[in-house]
Amino acid sequence: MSLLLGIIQALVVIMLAPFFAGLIHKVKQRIRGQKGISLFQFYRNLYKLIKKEVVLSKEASIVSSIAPYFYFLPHAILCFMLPFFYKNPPLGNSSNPVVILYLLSLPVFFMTLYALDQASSFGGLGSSREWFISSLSEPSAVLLFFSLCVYTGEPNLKGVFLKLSDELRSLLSEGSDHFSISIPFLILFALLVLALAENARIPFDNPETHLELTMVHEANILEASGKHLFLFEYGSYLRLTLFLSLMSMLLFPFIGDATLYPLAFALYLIKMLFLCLVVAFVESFNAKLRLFRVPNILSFAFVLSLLALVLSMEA
Amino acid sequence: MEKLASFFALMVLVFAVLNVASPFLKFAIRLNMLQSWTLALYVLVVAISSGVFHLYLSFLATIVFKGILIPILLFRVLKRTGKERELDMIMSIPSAVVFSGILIVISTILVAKFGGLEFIFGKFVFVSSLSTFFIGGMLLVIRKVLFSQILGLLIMENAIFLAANSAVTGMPLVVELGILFDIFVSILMASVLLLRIMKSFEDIRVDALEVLKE
Amino acid sequence: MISVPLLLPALGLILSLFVDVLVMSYLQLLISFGLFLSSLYIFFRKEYSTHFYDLFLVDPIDSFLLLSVALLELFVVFYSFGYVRTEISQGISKRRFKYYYFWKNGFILSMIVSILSNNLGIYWVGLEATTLTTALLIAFYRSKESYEASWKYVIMCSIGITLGLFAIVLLYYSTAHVYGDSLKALSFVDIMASVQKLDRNILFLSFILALVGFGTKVGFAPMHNWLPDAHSQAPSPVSALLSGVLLNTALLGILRFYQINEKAGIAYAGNFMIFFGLLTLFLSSLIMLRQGEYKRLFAYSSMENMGLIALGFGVGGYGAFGAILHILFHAISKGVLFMASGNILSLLHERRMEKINGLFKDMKITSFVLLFGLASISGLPPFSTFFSKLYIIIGLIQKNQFLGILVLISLAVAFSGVFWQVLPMLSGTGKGEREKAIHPFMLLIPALMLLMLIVFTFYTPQAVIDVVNSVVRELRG
Repeated sequence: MSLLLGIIQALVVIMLAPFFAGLIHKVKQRIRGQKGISLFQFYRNLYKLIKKEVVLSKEASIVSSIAPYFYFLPHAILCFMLPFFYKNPPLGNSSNPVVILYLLSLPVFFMTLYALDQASSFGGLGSSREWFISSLSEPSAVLLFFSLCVYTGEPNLKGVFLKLSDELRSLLSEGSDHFSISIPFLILFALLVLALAENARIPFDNPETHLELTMVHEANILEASGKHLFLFEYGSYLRLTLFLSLMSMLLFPFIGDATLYPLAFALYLIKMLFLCLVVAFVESFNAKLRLFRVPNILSFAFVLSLLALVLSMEA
Repeated sequence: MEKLASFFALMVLVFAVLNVASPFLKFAIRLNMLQSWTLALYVLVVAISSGVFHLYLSFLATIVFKGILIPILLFRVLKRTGKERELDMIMSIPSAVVFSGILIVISTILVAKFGGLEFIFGKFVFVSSLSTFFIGGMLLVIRKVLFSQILGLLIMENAIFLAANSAVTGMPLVVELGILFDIFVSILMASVLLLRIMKSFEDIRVDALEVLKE
Repeated sequence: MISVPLLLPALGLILSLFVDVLVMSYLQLLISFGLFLSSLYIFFRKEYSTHFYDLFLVDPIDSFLLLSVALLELFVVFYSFGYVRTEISQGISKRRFKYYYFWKNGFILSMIVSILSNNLGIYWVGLEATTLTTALLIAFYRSKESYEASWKYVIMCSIGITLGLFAIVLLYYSTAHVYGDSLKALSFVDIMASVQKLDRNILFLSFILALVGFGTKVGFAPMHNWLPDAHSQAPSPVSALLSGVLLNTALLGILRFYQINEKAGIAYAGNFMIFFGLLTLFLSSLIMLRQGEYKRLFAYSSMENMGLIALGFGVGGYGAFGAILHILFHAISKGVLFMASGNILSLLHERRMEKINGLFKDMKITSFVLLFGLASISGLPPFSTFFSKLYIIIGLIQKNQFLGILVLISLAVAFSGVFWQVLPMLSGTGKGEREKAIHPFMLLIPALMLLMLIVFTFYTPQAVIDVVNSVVRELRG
């Protein structure tokens, strides 16, 4: 039973991913005064892509045909690892911070490999930029996950979020104050920065750009088409959803068991909608940074997660 | 209450780090103002939880002097110097920010060595104030614009105020008011000097000041 | 009685806003004379107690410093009387001088507040106020150089004093355990009374912070950058006050913390005083060998003397005895030097030494004053600085022979640096007698001060010796 519920949770998250991405897109368009796409437009796009045939450049090697799967799969596996709203994810016991970090950076590796393999000039440009940003955000991601583990004293993230949820419940029911405001705040803020950086969101990169010279993420998948593009697009929606979900699990950690399943799910949806709105607003009210300004913000996020680590060691 | 207090103490530190990361003078002043406000809120929390009356006055004085008067003054000076451009630093922003992270770790280690001190709201408030103090000092050294030396000084002073409210409930009121007034006048004096320097050097960069050599 | 030295400068502060400069210079003479008399009274009455809800305190070292401030201030005011008139006749507009007396009185007032304070917080407020009141005095001539000097002065001293505030806050941490959060916890007398109950680590840390922080304002070696700039750019009478007494006022803060440490039995605190003193003495004496401007040279000489005084306090005993006397004698003889350089500057408008020669022909009295002033600052025998320096060196040698030798070498280097560079200014062919343009007070006062130094050599009032002895006893804790 619990296995089934866990699998349902993962599938639900995977199914919802294009919806969240579409929602952010729509809100941004509405803020700009446009009518906006339908909320389900991204599903239609994906459906259209999966029907098209794959065109590969004549330089492409075997890497190009396996890379898209390796972009999508780690994200999908991650969905089976985290307790989004149900406390028993199927792969929960292996949700070690190190594993999660590697699963988050493996897709980036394959995506950039794909971009290089196609031998287009923009691919090389995009992949070097992608690594520039990603290697700078890596340290703060490491510190962040470890500080969560240190704070709660749990070895893997599933335990971390369950413990946070328990703490929240005891806070609500008994008013115990074994709960820190500062650490979740710091981690949330750092995660927000990371989510924007890792998902090619606006202060770092514009997901909607059509200008090859400023692209980061898009330049990597410029050559992808058909099923490959489907995998890349779907993978990036999943990535965004994963980051936002991590934030949602910190925002108001409420993870239910079988009886509270619907309630926890509803709460999860509300939190995700809220976070989508936040991301959309951040994207709308900021201008894209020059590439060489990116380290400023990422280093700030690094110091915040360092501070979180310091604080969680004290607590 | 303790959570709230340590949160405000944390925000004082976060604003200091953000100040290092920000390349714009105007934004830096705004951050400074926010820092003073969070500091005042921290004092308010201490006042409410300890019930010491003079802390309410100190809260008000902090808001009036540090939160309102000094930022207004600084904004006006900045407008009159007409140099709202980016800040030059002797090291790049990311390395400065990471360096401030190192300072935070150092001050954590330092505070861990103080066995004998008891703090109202936990050790972290003192860690925060010590590292804010160091970061203020670092800002003073690394920025090449005279204006930001004033900002660095203000950050250091905010840090000391935080420290004064971390283990004891603030300095005696007479002393605190005297200190606040002195700080205000010193900022006033520095602004006057800055404007005059702007007039005669036509620049507010540190490099411009090398008329006097050995 | 203690309110008189506080009220008189305040009165001058207010008067100067409403009264014309030339009238004010007469009134100022009266005010300063009153200040001098009241500080003499306080000094000789030897009644040591706290006043005004324990905010203020008179103890031996306070009364001694107060006397040295009032004495130098009296001379400086007489000199300023001539200085203002000479400068106006040299073409500086009278409007510029409008705030001269205002800031100077503010400066004296804040210095006296610092010196007489019992509460360490009040001491801090007064010391910061001295920075603020002198900032615009340093920028008095409105040249690029003076603005730069003033900026450096304000920023560096503010940072240093901020560190000092941190020291006070730390000290307050430990004293608040004894007295609770009250004014008593910052009161020097009360801290001394219960020093055994305080956390020694915190005491020592606060001493180190105070040494570095207030040491910036004293001009200790690695933090001295502002000192030569500020002291050389200020108008000469103000330079005399800055060098002669302000540095000692800042030193008083360090001494307070030192005293607390000594009483708590932290013996190694003195070593840090010795370290900073030696570093300052040694570095400044080396720098003095290569100076282009005479006022800068004298500013470095102040640094050198402050280093010597800190050394004296660090070793205690005879050293401390000499150091206290040297505070007074150095103030007077540094006053002489800056007054002489003020005369040269206001006539020749030239700061660099190599461009000046033939002073013996041009300005006979000034050059004699300068020459004897140099002799007195170097501690040559007819002047009482000889004795104060001698005592310090005896103290040093008692502590450690090697230390004494190092100090003697530094003093010799400083001596040669001063004479080697200033003497060429005096010789050579002149352009004819020019000293008539200077107000006679500007020649008379430094000569009088030199005379006073000689008198002190042969006759020092027993009361002074008593007070100095009681300071030495107090310092030992």
